[in-house]
Amino acid sequence: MMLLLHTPALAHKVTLFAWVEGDIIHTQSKYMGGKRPKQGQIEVFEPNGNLLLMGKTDDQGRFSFKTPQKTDLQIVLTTEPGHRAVWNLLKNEFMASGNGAPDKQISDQNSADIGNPNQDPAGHYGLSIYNMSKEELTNLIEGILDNKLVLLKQQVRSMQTERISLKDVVGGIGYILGLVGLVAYLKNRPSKNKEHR
Amino acid sequence: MHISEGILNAPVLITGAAMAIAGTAVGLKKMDYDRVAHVGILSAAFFVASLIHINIGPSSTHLILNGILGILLGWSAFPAILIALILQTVFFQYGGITTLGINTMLMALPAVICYYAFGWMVHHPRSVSMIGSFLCGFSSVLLSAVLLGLALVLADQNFWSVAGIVIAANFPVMIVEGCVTAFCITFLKKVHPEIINHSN
Repeated sequence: MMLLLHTPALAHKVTLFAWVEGDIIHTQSKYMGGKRPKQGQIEVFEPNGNLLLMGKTDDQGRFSFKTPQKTDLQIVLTTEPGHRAVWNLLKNEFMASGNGAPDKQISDQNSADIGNPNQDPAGHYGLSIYNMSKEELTNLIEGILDNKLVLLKQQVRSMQTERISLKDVVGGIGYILGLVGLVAYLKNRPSKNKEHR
Repeated sequence: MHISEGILNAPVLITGAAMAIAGTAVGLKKMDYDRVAHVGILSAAFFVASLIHINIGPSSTHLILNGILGILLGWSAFPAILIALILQTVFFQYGGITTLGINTMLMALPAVICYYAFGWMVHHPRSVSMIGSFLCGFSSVLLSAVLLGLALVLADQNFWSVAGIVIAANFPVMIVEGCVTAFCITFLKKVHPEIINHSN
């Protein structure tokens, strides 16, 4: 029974999505059909192929880790039996400066705060926007953008990979019918050497 | 049950491809070209079957239908499955291009084996035929799971644990496929009996 509780979903395809928040890289893995792989193996490689770190996905198919280095990274997910997905994280997804802006404070803000001229968003940090250095301002903006863009990236990713559209099904069946027709035509061409059926 | 790109090593992929080519060649030779439309319809059914998810308990799997293809097509199941897998790779990105050979073997070889093992039972009266079709559907999925474990073992994984997991997770599929195969064959025998009689 324990074995059954840990059985992996045996779908056709597994997808991997990774994003950066501050100095943590989050990954989310999903099977086609929506189930999440548990204990899937995640490996992170640097550009020259060296393995930087390894880990396992949790019950929700997530695995997060501190950014090992701010270069292009290749994240590979392998699940039993025989499914593999790759996500290439580009180095410009990491923040320009060394430290991440505090995540919790950023996620507490909403866009109403930013747009409202009467509120001082930087007041959350105990800073006045006029006293901020260029670096601090860059951090602040990048942190906010990260938060907003993650959802958008997830949506784009799921649009690309998770939908099997009717037109794909119809297209495939169309090819099969076409092949059938072609074979039937080729086999039934009248030939001078053969007897007519 | 499709193996993705990058999991297996080159010798296994090449062997799988070679065996699939051989099986497809036999299938094409033995195919009755008057009935190429039947092969096409079953290939289309296989193509679409993987979209039908079976969510029982913790596992999420899908129909395979290689049992029905085995009974109805015999060796011609090889080209039918190969074409369907190519289209699944192109349209749905299931499996991969390099793994086409091994994936074809995984699904088509059990179909042919079960055809020889149980196909004769289909020509007998009702209960024998139903039992035979159920066993054919059940065993095709079982054999596919075993072959999958074997292929992964050749890529350096522990056979018994992987095969055990695959078989356990696919057990609901085996039961469902057995029932589906039994019902389909029984129905076809009543409505369209000549589809089952072929000299493959």
